[in-house]
Amino acid sequence: MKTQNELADAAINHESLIVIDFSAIVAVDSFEELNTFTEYILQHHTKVAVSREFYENYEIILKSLNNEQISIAKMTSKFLDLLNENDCLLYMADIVDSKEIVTKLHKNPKVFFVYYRNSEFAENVIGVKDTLKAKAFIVDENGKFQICMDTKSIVDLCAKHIDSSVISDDYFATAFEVKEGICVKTKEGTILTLGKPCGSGGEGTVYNCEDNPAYVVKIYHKGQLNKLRLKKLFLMEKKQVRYNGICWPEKVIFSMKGEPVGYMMKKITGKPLSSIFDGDEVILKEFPYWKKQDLISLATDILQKIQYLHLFGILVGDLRLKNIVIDAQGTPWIVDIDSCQIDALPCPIGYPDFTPPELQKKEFKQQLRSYYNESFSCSVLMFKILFCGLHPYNQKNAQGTLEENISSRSFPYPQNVQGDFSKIPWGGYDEMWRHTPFQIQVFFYDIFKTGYRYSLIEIILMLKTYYEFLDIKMETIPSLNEISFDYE
Amino acid sequence: MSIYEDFNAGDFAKSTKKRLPICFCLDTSGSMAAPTGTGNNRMQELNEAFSKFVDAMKSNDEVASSADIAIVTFGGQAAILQNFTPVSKINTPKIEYKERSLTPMGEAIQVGLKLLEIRKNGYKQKGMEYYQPWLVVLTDGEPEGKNELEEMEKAIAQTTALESQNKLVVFNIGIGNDADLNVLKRLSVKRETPISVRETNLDEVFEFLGKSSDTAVSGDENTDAFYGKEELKKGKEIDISEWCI
Repeated sequence: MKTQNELADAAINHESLIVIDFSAIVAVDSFEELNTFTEYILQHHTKVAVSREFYENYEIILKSLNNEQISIAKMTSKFLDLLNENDCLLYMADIVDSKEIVTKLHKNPKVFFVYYRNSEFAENVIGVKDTLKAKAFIVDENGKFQICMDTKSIVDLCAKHIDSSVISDDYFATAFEVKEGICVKTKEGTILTLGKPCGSGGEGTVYNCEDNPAYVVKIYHKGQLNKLRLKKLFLMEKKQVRYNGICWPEKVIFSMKGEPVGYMMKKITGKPLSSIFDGDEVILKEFPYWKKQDLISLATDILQKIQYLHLFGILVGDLRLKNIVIDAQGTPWIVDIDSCQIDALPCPIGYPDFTPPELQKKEFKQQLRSYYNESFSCSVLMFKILFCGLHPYNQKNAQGTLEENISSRSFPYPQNVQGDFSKIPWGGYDEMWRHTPFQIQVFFYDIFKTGYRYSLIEIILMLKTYYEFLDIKMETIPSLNEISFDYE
Repeated sequence: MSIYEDFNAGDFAKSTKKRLPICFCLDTSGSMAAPTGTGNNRMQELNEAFSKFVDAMKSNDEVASSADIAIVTFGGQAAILQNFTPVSKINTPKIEYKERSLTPMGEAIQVGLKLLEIRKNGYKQKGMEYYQPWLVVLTDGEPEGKNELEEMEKAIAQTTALESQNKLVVFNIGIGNDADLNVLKRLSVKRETPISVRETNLDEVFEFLGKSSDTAVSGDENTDAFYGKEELKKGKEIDISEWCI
């Protein structure tokens, strides 16, 4: 962390307002860094502001079921308590997300934003760079604070540029011949014996891990390991993503000769959402007691995991129902995540059904996705889960392809009950729309018809509101909580 | 009365999945009775391979909940053996040859395309999405029958027009040495040479079809793989040593 002198040079005093984004807490190298910072703030009686998003992120970390992560959250909570006791904490309860904070405060030169370089917060700051007067403490990839006293240094540090050194069709040569029973190792030298293969795809084969049945090892096929993949693997190993429900590539795996050949991840067994979310009957066959609230919880749970990844500067990129697996305990796991976008390394693939209008027909290899792009994919996911697998742009007698209908925002659901229901797909989905609370209908209409983009935190909060609404209404109108209705 | 059934929306209950319609046009002419040297005749081999194929599709969750299958046969006349049915609900029918019958391939393909057309319209009316439909033509001979040359030309004109607009994927398969590969080839503008298979290796072809259906329902719109055009490696091999430990 910066010394007290450096902070003094930055002219932080009792008139300043420091706005902290949770991404900074996650990215910071150690808590000692934060302590120097805290001491200085307390001495100078500087106000620190956090938004509702901060507390939502805090709650998300607590749900990780990972001790290290939980201790980060607890230290954060102590930090806030300390500020609060000294009358330095300002809770902006009416401000929901980073977009709103940045919009409202960026013109004030007394404001200091504190965030991670590749975060959604950074994206929003860059979005207002032309009128930016606020200063910033930016946490870089190594967990160190960089003080930026003017717009140019902020833009230089935060504007996202694709790492073009990885955009190449070249692939690594390796003499490694994979088969059952062969030994591989981690960089620390832990030796693993590959067991029976338990899955195979276009990129590689996944093997059971004989020494550790909780883990599996994915070995890439020859010709599949390119610069982008390899750089990403090492970066993934570095990022301490640990969350019950995210199947993260935890360790790069090397051949005994020391060549990188794949990675190790938790073994997840379960069913992908794509084979469960095929109408209410299939869902109820799998989960006979599920109600609408269970669908809402499921969607919330998955989106909170994506939000957790966002805090690290990671975008899922290739979001699809097939890449979410529900295990025997009912926990949804994000799997097949090795293609994700991390910092300046792009996700080279995408599924058209989840691709926002502005990226349809674009080449994913050549560009970075934004948080703004991904919030559309998250909205589609939310709709699909609440509507039993139905895509928001599926419709009767469609004029174009699904991709075209996404691009033209041809959304078949009316904004109010007097509207046109005739284009809603057959199977009772018109009734399902009729029974959706007005606030949620408007929310979907805004996104899919008007083209307004809610941030991921806003989507999560909306799902929570929906859940609570059903708690209240269920006693008077029990059918509201049914997944579906008889329609014939 | 029309041989074509109306689209049955009830088939799908409230399914929300994107459909993959597959229409088979299978040769059931007299030549399919030819022994293969394994103790079976061609028809028995075909039944075994087809039945394994359907079982494999059923055991793949993604495919089972997406694919719809229809079967048109051509032996003596073009006939619908199986109207479009979701794979999950299908009872694999026994395919039988007609002794000393001709091979009205052209008519059968036209019937198949008509079935696909009805199916696609049904999906549209119901509001269901669908992948590019598949037409699988399998024969061990050449088109024969009344006006068959004319019928075959009509069929070729239709398949190639649809295929070149990316509205159809064609699998043209010849069994044994007597299959007319020249005419099969003309059914597709995308496939360089028709798939040619020995009668004892029919399993391989159906395995390929199974694998392709899995690729299709995984949302990969790149159909090159179905035409045997594996993406060529554009890059070159490079040294890995700087990444080694």
